[in-house]
Amino acid sequence: MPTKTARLVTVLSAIFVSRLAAGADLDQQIMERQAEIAAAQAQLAPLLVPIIVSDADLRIWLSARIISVVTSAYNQQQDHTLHYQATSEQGRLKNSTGGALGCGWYVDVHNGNAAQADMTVNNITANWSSSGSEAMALNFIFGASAQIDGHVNGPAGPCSILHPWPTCDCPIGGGLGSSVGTSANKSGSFGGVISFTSSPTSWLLYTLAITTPSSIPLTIDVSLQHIGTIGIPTSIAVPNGVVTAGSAASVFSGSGAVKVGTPPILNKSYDVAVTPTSSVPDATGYAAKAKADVVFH
Amino acid sequence: MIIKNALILTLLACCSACSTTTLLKKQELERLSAQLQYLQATHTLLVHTPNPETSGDLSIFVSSGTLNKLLTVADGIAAPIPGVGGATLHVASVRATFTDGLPLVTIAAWAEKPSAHLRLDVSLFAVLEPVTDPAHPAQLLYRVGVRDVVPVLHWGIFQLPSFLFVRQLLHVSAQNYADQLPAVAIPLRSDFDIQQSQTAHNVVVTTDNGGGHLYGTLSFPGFELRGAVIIDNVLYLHDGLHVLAHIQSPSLVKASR
Repeated sequence: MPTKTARLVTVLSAIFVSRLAAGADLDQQIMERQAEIAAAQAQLAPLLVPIIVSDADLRIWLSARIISVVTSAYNQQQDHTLHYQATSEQGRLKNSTGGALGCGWYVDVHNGNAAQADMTVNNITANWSSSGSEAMALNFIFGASAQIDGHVNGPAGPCSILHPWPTCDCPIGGGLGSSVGTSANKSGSFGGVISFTSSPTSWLLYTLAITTPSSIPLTIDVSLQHIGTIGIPTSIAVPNGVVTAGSAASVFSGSGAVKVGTPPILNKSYDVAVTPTSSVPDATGYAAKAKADVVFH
Repeated sequence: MIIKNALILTLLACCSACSTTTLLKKQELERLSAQLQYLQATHTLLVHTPNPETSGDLSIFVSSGTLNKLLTVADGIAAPIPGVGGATLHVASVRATFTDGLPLVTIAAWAEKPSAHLRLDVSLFAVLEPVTDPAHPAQLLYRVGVRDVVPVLHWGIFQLPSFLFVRQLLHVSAQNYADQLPAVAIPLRSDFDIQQSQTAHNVVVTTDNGGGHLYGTLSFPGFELRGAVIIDNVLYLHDGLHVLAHIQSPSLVKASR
């Protein structure tokens, strides 16, 4: 008859042996699982290549599509009008050396500033390029209005002993003149380009530059008493270069908190200082990468 | 008699040590199985949708290194272990060690019962779990979720007191351990906001065949467009977390001239 001690030793030994066997079985399963993971990782690796970010703490990528979304939203709005206001005039709108009782005439903008225009950019179309620039076409309708003063020189004749010969410069009350309102319309298209950059305060800055045309010719037709109907050819210089800029608020707002424990035994807020490191445009969109430093308060 | 008692104690000690070793192996197997499952799910996703960020409007990447800078705040934290009188959980470090698909977290921790001069390393199988906070809907909030806890008990004949401590620690729910670990709020904005300020440019109108000039100002209106950022998916890859999103209904919220 085995003693109680012997029976206990036997039972414990059996448990011990079974545990060892179970442990060996687990070791085998672990090795098998590790092999399966290695195989799965090898299969996955090439699919991860375009996604993995190895050179930045933060990266924000914006699809090329979003530019179309934004321009579409812009096009649907009511107010996208550029306003022109004249401020001063130098020279004449048009100067004639003949006609009008023989001494000619000239026309001015009333007070040098009574001219204004509204240019409605009613449709923006955009095409993304892999260089990271967005080629744009801005269709516009230009509606100008002005108050035109017409002046008739002369009349011809001697002014005084000092000016005995016929001249049109005699100060005899300014000649004949009239003032009328007029308007002109023009439509066309600007060519432009949007470029993207990043800064410490904004992950996405953009500038819109107009590249073409350099000028818009416009003829203002006006009918003036004593002068008649005239066409005043003008050329409006288009500001080629950056005309407007904007920014997108960072999607990563930069401040957060870390709590430890429930209920909290530690609650710390932090700020993330973002330093842009590169802006990488490609065919899919625009990616801004940054370094991040965490500062706890 | 003495030999018999020693033999029994040795066997008991072996069993206790084997018990925790087996548990550790089971935990390792569970972790590996989860890792494999998420790897396979990620593979399936990427086969069907290569480079999934390009199917959305925007993506935000936060590196594991940045997350770990946030998680360092929990380094050195100690808190009582609920249900184990006089015991304390010490957290040496919490670090994101994502595998592809699984937001794994590696925690270096130990449990201590100073009154009994006991100290055991604790192995935790933990992951970052997203949680929602109605008070801060724009924030991506993560807490450390504990799947499994195993005290590490090394083989030895004098480990019986530790074995009892092991049993106590094993009876503590994983949630109670999780409650001692950090929750990180990553502040993402819920709106996509584009602002363009009003600008003015000098424009010259040439008249009279170049003899005259009309000077003026061309004003560009300012505006602000805003849309909502809707998160579609979050990928946990070995480099960090990738938030994939689209922008909903951008519209003009302000115009100035």
